[in-house]
Amino acid sequence: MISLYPSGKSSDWKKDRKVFTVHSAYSSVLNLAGEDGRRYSLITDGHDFQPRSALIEAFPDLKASESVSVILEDVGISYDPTIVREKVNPLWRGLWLEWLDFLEEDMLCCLLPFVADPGQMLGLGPGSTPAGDDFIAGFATALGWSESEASWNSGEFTAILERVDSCTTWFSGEMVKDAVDGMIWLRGQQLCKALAGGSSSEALTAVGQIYGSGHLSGRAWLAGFSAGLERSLSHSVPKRNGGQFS
Amino acid sequence: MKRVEVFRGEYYDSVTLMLVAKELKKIEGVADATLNMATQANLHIMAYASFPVDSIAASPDDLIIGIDCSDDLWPSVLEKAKTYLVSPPWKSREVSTEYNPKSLEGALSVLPEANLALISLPGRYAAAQASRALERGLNVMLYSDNVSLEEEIRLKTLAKEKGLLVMGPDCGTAVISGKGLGFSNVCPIGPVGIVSASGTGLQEVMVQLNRLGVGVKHGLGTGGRDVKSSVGGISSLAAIDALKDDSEISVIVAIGKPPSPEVRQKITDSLKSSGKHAVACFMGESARSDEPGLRYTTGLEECAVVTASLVRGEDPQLARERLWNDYREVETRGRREGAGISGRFLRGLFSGGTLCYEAAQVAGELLGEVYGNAPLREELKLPDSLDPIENSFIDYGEDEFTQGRLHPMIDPSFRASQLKIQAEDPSVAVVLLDIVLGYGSAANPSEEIVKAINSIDRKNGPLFVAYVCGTEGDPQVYGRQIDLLRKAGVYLFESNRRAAIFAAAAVAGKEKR
Repeated sequence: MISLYPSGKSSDWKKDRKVFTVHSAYSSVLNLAGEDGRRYSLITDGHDFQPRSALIEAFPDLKASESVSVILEDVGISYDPTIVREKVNPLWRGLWLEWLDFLEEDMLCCLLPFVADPGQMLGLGPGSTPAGDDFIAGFATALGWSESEASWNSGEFTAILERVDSCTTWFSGEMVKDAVDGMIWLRGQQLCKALAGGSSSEALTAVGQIYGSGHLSGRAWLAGFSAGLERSLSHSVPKRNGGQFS
Repeated sequence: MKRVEVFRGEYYDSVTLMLVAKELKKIEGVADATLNMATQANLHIMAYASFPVDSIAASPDDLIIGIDCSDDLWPSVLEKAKTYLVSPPWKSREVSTEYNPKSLEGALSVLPEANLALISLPGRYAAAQASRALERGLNVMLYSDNVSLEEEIRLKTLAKEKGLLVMGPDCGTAVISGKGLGFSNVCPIGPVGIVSASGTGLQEVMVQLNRLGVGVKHGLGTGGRDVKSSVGGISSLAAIDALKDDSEISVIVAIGKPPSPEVRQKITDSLKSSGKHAVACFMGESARSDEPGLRYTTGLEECAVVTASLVRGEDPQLARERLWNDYREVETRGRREGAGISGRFLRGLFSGGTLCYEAAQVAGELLGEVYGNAPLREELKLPDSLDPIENSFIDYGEDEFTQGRLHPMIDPSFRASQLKIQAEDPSVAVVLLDIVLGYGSAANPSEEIVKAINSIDRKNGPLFVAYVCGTEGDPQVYGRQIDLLRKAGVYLFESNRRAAIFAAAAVAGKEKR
């Protein structure tokens, strides 16, 4: 069995030595299934940190179902994925509202009827990470991050967690669970930080890094994040007005 | 074999359509490819290029793809076109680039101090967005055309109430504090402020001023209809007022085709009372005497020459007289050079509307009746712009050529194909062209023109005469474009008017012999 030695890890990757099964391998990300059934990832680019991830210089050519050992002894924590509640700067509302319009796109419009009830989006949409799951992840992240605990409807998310294993892919379900559990990917964390601040260039860079990720994922996540922010601020679902959300 | 396929209700922007067509033409075995929104004008152009569109039932909201290739190749090329439309090969995966806001509110979130919105949308959506921008306290540059006259009046009235300016609709060029918007050339900032109802007119005057070492601070477009009585010059007058208030501006210039009489009066009154030097260039008007505080010019180069002399504190009349002498020399040379050429007629093939208008005027003075798709007089309008007769001037930037396809300043390929057709016509003696450089224009516009010239199959072919409107600072680099054209044997001149005088004189000289 191949042993892999990362140089940095996220704070929620607890055990120092563990055996995993390869789930999927991409040029810069190796997704692994742990014995606990959770998704773990080895990444070669520090921008890709997410819950249960570790940074490694490179990894060998590995096939799905192969076993690997990941050694994390004495490896420092490079990233903390825990969402820390902050107050969103309302200056950016015009910016985040337009992300809901991404749902007008052909490949995402299947989500439109469910904006008021994102739980219905579980597993909805094309791809191995259905866009509906990205929306839910963004939605949960916004509610978990913004400083308005009253808007967090635990019943809504309990219902999502109950259905997640049967309604969507394992990999995508892991993303939803993390978001509901208050864990966030680095790009999302950078976005939250930017939206709490006042720098335009930080905000545009942070949004750009998410917008361009995946085929549809980034846009669906941003749309969900926008809906979540609106919920957290007004407790109401954004209304469509003349073709645009407002 | 040329075949077409219609895709109902599929809309793509004209840049995408142009780029996909270019990609398809790179495929071995594809002789031609064209992708257009199925407007009547585009169907007409496709029919002219022998694509079988006669029996096609399509609306302007449909996409039509035409490909010239073998039957064997057709399915795969068509499939390739569909793939390219969905996933453009020239678009790289952009993970880390900055996000560009998609809405006015989004843009204002990140740029709350903004005071101007540039709106470039299909005309039917543009007015609503312009209204929103005005309501948010923004001046508007309305690049879009096909905005109704009623909407234009409503927008400009609203802007006036709010102390704002609407540049447009159909405003392709503006300069704000030396920064170009839309089609614009790289020129220095200086003490001149320009109000222009004409895009390429503004470009030409700025380029000529640049050559005379004079810069422009603001170039405010108004849209061509602003000076009609229906609109009443609302934007022109607001723009002049804005320039009056700018202490860094010492000369105010107004450019355009002749306004309606009452608007003309308001504009000239405002210019004369500006307390600054003022120059009016209403092309097509008869020459008239200067008035206190206001110099009248009838040509774009003259406008620049007079303006530059005012900036320098020189005598504008002397500058004019030097210019007339130059023009006389150009005319004499044209008559001489035209002696040995075959053919009888002049064809002006233009990308800039005002440049076309000015050149047609010059040609009219030397040759009599000049036909066109946007002629000086309605009775000289060509029945078919693809089939010019006698002395004709075609503006390929007119709506008939730009609905659902790119403006010829952005994509010179269609004009280049027409150039080849016209130049191979044995009755054509001279082909006159403009090449407009600057931001927004094609990366290397002369390249396509030169390719077309080099492909012409005609003994004793016509004279090619061109004017390149641009500067060394432009992305396309003036000197580089000139070199390309010169190597292809094109006669080149320093202004649009000079090129037109030479071309018309070459034909006029032949007629007398």
